[in-house]
Amino acid sequence: MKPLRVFLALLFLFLLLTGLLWAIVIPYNEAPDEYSHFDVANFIAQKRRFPIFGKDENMGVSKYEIPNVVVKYNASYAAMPPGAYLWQALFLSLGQLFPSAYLLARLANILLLVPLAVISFSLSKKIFKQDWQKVSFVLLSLLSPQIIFTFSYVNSDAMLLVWTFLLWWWLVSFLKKETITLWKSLIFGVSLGLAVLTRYNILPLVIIAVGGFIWRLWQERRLIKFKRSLFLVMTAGIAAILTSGWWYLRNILLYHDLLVSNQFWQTYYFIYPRGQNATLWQILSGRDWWWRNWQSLWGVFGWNTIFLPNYFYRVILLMALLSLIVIYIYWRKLGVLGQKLIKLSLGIGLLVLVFSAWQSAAFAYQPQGRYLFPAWPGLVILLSLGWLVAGEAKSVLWPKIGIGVFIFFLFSWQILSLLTILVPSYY
Amino acid sequence: MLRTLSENRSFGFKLGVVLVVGFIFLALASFLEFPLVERLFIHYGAKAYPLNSQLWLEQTFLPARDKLIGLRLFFKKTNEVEHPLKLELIKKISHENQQLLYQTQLSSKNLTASDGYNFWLSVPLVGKGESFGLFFSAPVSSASASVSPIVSGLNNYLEGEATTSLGPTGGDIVFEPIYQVRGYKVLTHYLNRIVFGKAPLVNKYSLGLLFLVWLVSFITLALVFLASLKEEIALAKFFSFLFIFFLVLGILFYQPSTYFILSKV
Repeated sequence: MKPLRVFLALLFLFLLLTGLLWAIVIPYNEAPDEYSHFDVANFIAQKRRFPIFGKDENMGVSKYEIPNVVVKYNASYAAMPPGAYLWQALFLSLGQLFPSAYLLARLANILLLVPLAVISFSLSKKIFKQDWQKVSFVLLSLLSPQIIFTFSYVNSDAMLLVWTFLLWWWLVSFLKKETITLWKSLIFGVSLGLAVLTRYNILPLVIIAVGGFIWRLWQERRLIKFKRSLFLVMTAGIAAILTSGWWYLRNILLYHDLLVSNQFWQTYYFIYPRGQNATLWQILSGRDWWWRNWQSLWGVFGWNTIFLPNYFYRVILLMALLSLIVIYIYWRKLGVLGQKLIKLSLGIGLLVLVFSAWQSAAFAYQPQGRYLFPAWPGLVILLSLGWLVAGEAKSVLWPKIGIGVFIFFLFSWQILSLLTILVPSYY
Repeated sequence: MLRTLSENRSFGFKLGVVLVVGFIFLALASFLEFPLVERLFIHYGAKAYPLNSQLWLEQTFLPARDKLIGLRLFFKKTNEVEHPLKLELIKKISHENQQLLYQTQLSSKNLTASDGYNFWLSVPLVGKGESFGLFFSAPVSSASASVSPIVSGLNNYLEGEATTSLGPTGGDIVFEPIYQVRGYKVLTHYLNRIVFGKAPLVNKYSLGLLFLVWLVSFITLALVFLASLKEEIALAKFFSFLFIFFLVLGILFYQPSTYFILSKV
């Protein structure tokens, strides 16, 4: 068996086991909005149809109760795109695991770690040549405690991450000027469709991906005739519409609202009365929003209440700053592709940040790192590319030491998060 | 990375050695004694009773294990008034007869709101199943006193109860006994807690096995990553830098936590 395949097989096993362990350790609903997500998936599994927001029981205001202990309310996620819930419903339909049906839904998310690893590895092969570079990139993509946590409870962020990596894979293909064939257009269209069936915060990435696709065709205008380009665009568009258009058509017919956002937010404000929202500038100029996003991007558990030690976030921030310095120093050595990747990562990162800040300003203040997941592969590129390119020559050791130490730091927090944070928090 | 068959064999041998040594180490460590903090209940609806010369609190409890070495306690501060506090551990011999075993004095300024603090017993207490009381008082402070142990709004702890000089609280003082137990008991304690109430397929044996296999996969993946680096750098150099990195982290960020000693009377 080829060495990298050994690594991949081990990685799959490790990710699946880690996900299973975390899924068993984390009590039900000790994660943001888990009951709201689970309710929708469970409804689909039980009733074999999509819930209607505001009409079906528990599908307007979603309720979670432990008698005499706690009651939580939320606006139902029946209004949200159903991609993740369909996948979880498939597992919930497999059988009863009373009283732990939620574990089946969590298992659905855990299994998504495998395609995530495959796509991440495929992305690394597009960018890097040496084995240690590919291995480092994949481990950096997947070893964050927040990533593992995301795949260990019921939500739609896990599936969003899979399609995020897939869209980034496409973007890198376009940057590498790979030829777009009919088959690729079809698959790209399906990728877009699947992405918009998960969560709305993937929208900035989808727009960039579409832009990248059209830009790539424009670049090939001398080799591909206009009619053919148009045909490829239509193929991708029709594939995307066939994959996801039915859901949005349903929204228009049922709710007269493409995104059902009006009804959702009206219900949300009914439960959580709307105060004075900060402006976009106030949010972006305040330290709290940035720091809380950074923390929850790397490791915050429970209902955003269980934190890792502060030094964990500071060390990663320091690593990020060092990475930017290395990129600056080695800018020319990055080559054309590397430079384009950095610009793309910064651009998408900024766009996703602004979109998240706008959401906080327009709807509800929620500085949660998971809203930045569409920029996650870009962040990994920013963290790793400089080091990995600087260390390409065998004689240059310090970048390999630097990235190796960082990966071991993340490795250590795989164990420490579980044994010193999660288990003591609940047991 | 692991290009030749002989490299694979060499890696396999090294992995085997690491795993065997690791398992022997874990097996031996499981017979060593470790502190086990037992979370008795999750409290809801916290109440406060700021201690002063007129108001004391007591929580009775029954140690569930042989060797009690400490108690983890939680406090709520209602203001920043500085005054002394007294904590006493009493043995309840009969309804009217009790014996003072341990005590300590501390200042309210040492406590910050809602932090948990370890109160270590100077000598371990052997008293499984016997009745003890934890007595909180602030004999010299005024009515504007500032510190209260956190009292749960529900009566979750069934082996004891919380009372005050004003009468019963209707809840329990939030406390976590710390026992000294062998490593394997710590493991089974957490395994039992984690699997409680879950599907029959999820029991302490399956979870224990899952944890073990996960540990093996974790070590193997880390070693494979090292093998990929090994071709690029000498591992001794890498481990030196790794050691320095964690040492610097420890120096920069280590903050010893505040703890107290309950002295034997």
